[in-house]
This record gives sequence, structure tokens and C-alpha cells, in this order.
Amino acid sequence: MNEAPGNYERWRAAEESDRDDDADWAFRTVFQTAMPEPPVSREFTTRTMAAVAAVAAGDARRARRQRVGVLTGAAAATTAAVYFGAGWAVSLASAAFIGLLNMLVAGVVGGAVAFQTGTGVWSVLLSLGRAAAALAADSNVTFALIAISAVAVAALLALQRLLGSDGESFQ
Amino acid sequence: MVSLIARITGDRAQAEDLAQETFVKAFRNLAAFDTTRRLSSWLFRIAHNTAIDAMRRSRPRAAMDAAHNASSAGSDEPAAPPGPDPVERQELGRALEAALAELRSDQRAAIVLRYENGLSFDEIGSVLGVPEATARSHVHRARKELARLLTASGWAPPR
Repeated sequence: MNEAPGNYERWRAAEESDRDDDADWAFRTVFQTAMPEPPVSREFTTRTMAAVAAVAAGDARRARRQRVGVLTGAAAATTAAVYFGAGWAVSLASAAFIGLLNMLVAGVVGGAVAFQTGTGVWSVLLSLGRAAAALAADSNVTFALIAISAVAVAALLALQRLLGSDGESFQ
Repeated sequence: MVSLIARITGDRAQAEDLAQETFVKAFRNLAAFDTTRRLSSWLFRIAHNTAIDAMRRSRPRAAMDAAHNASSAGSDEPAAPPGPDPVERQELGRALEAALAELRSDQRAAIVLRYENGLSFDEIGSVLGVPEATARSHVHRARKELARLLTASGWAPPR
């Protein structure tokens, strides 16, 4: 325990003669012997754990509030969309359905004619392609496809956000 | 960690609060921790930044001034050459603490990290946000400066 003064002399001597490694070693002993670490209160650990727990609880509450907000918003938006856009959506869906039906009929008729007249497979495929192009070119059908894609992307983003909130609250 | 903060800020009373703040910050930013590095270095870095922020918030440091005053008062009367006496060891500790308070905050942190927490120069560099060579230089210069300050306060080198 009484090493500090002896090492003090050693440190100063090493420092004077620029022996860096010796000075480094001797000063470590001087420092650790002459300057004990300040005592930490007994309550420190308890207080710190309580503070961390409070932060964790606060974060979890915030994540839960955020999740409830997102769900409420999504439910309200869905209700409003259904209320205001139901007629439009039905008309779009029926246009898409009719377009699909037309394509199917055109395909079947084209196939039957080709079978009767004995034309090749390429002619059947050509008539099917024409029917598909006619379906895609219909503005109502195009809009319906875009709307369905947008709803799917929004649903995916909402799902990802909800899962992210779960992760944060877990941490 | 409490010790590092206490030595950087010179305020032992506040050190525990700042250490607590450090742990809360670490908990909040746990996702940002690079698992390839040492947890202690990361915590020391947050503690160092927290201490520096606290010092900026409250510039006048009463404890440091008190230590400085004590060292000035002691310099009037040259101290005896250090012997194997616990009282002298305590006096050396006080003189060293006063000298430590005179250093620049980055040098002070480097000294504490090196000689109290036993960090390598590389780790000190990552805590202080400087290259290893700069950390080594901080420690070297701080030690030289401590020697100079101790001489000025009567703790002359052996002849």
C-alpha cells in the first residue's frame, strides 16, 4: 500500500529522462494508490435501474399509443373510403369483371374458330393477346388495377409499421 | 463510470446523476451499439459526452475552483519529499487531484481512462473520438503537464 511514494520518484525520474513506458507503468501505480475511486452510494444501482425501467415503460406506452393511433386512423380511413367510394369501387370492379369476361369469351370463341377452321396455335394465341390488350387498354380496368396496387402497398406499409412498433416496445 | 464523470466534471455530487443519465441514454440507443466493439468503451464514450455536456451547461465548477484554491494555498509552502506515510500519500492524492483539475478536459479524460479504468490507447481514442496516436499524445502530454504542476505545487522530482 505504501508503494505510491516510491513509484512517485520512479515516475518523476522516468518522466525526466523521457522513458515513456517506465513513466506509464509507474504513474499507473501512483495514480491508483494515491487517488482511490470516489465511493458510489448504495442507492445508485437501485435508482439507475428504476430510471431505466421508467424509460422502458414510457417507450412501451408511447409505442402502444402510436399503434392504437395507426389502427384507429386506418379504421377511420377505411370506413370513409368504403362510404364515399363504394359506388365507384363497385363500378370499377364490375368493369374489370366484364372486361375479364369479355377476354375469356374472346379466348374461347377464338379457340373454337381456330379448332373448326384448323388454323395454328399462333393464331389462337394472337386472338388471346388481342383480347388481353383490349382489357388492359380499358381506362376503368387500368384504374382498378392501380387502385388495388395502392391499397396493397398501403396495407404492407401499415403492417410493417405495426411490426416495427412491436420490436421497439420489446426492446 | 461515476469516477470518470466525477474526475472530468470535478463534481462528485453530480457524478451519480450523470452516470444514471449515461445508462438511460445507453439503454435508449442500444440498437446503435456496434456489437463488434467493447461495451465498456461505448459506455465510457457516452459517459464522457454526458460529462462534457454537463460541464458546458454549468461552466463555473465550484469543486474544481476549490481544488485549485487548495493547490494554490499549498504552493506557498513546499511539501516534503514523498515518503511511505499514508498521510503523505493522501497529500499526494490531493495534489494530484488539484493538478488533474488544471488539465484540459480531453487530457483529464485520457488520464482517467488510462490509469483508473485501464483502457488501451486504441480504446481511449474510440471513447474520445480521436485516432489512437492522438490519444497516446493526450496521455503523454497530460502526464508531463501533471509533473510540471506537481513540481509547481512543491512536489519536486527526486534528485
